[in-house]
Amino acid sequence: MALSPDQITSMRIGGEKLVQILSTLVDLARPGVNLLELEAVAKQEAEAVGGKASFMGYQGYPAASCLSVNEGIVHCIPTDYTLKEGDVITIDMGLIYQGIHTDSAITVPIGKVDPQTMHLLAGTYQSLLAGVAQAKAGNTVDHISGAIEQVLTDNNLTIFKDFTGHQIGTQLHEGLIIPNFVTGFENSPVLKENMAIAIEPIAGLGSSSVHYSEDGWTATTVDKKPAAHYEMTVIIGVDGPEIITPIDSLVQKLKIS
Amino acid sequence: MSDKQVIELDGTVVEALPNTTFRISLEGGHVILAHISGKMRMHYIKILPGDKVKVEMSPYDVEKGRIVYRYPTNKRPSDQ
Repeated sequence: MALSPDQITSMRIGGEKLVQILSTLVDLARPGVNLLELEAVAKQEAEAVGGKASFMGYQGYPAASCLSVNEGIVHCIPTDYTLKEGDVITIDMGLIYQGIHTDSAITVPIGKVDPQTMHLLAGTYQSLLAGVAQAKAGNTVDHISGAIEQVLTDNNLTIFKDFTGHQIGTQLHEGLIIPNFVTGFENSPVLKENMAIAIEPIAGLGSSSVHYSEDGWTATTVDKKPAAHYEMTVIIGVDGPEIITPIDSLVQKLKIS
Repeated sequence: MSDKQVIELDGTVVEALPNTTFRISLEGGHVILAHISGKMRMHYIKILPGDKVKVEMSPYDVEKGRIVYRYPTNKRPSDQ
């Protein structure tokens, strides 16, 4: 379903607020900081800006954020772990504001990170930009998926196929899914003006095998190699995407691409 | 938060293998290997041959799955 003008207004404001919160979390994420501290700030800030953390209670998810460190891929429930030099952490968070969801994620290097992992981060972010560029009315989901897949395979990065982007609006996940590769299963749906989608490439360096842990959520790589994940919520426009949760300034500050 | 692409299918446990792996015969005849999900392991839910279960599978790997639910049965006493 396309969003109404009022819903779009709420989404724009919510998106700005979500990026502010991510910016706060990115600044806090350094060696010596515990994941539980980041999680507490995420939850607090969501309420401070007049919204709520959308992940909390979503299908039973017990936290405001997903904090996936190193071999953590997605949906990692924050644990009592202290960040150290050389780690990479993905901060993934959703915000409900005035009834509308926004969703965004960024993988952050902690201190000095090895060149291969930095290549993973840069390549994954580039694939997000390539996917976002295709988000215009009249294109299909395959345009986005194909662009993401092309950049990731050109960079020799592994795609974790089970995790996809998604349409978003009055619910966190609603309507279309946006895979990070061309599935070839069906006629790819056409993107319509004023639909909102979350585009989120998720990539790794080694095998695509995923291990799900005891808590039913936390997904990690079987070979323990790191994973990266960048996500932005965008609204489909006639001439191109309107980026609702721009993370480019954060990425530039971290010198990733 | 990414959406997870999975298919859910029902099946019957044929055989229990080492490391909490099970051979499952899915409705439709296809036989796969599945392991027990973390949530079920956490709640000490025991799976035996003959049990009817719900299996979650990735559409991108149709040989393996995850048992996410065991259907109630009258045949044995309930777990704690």
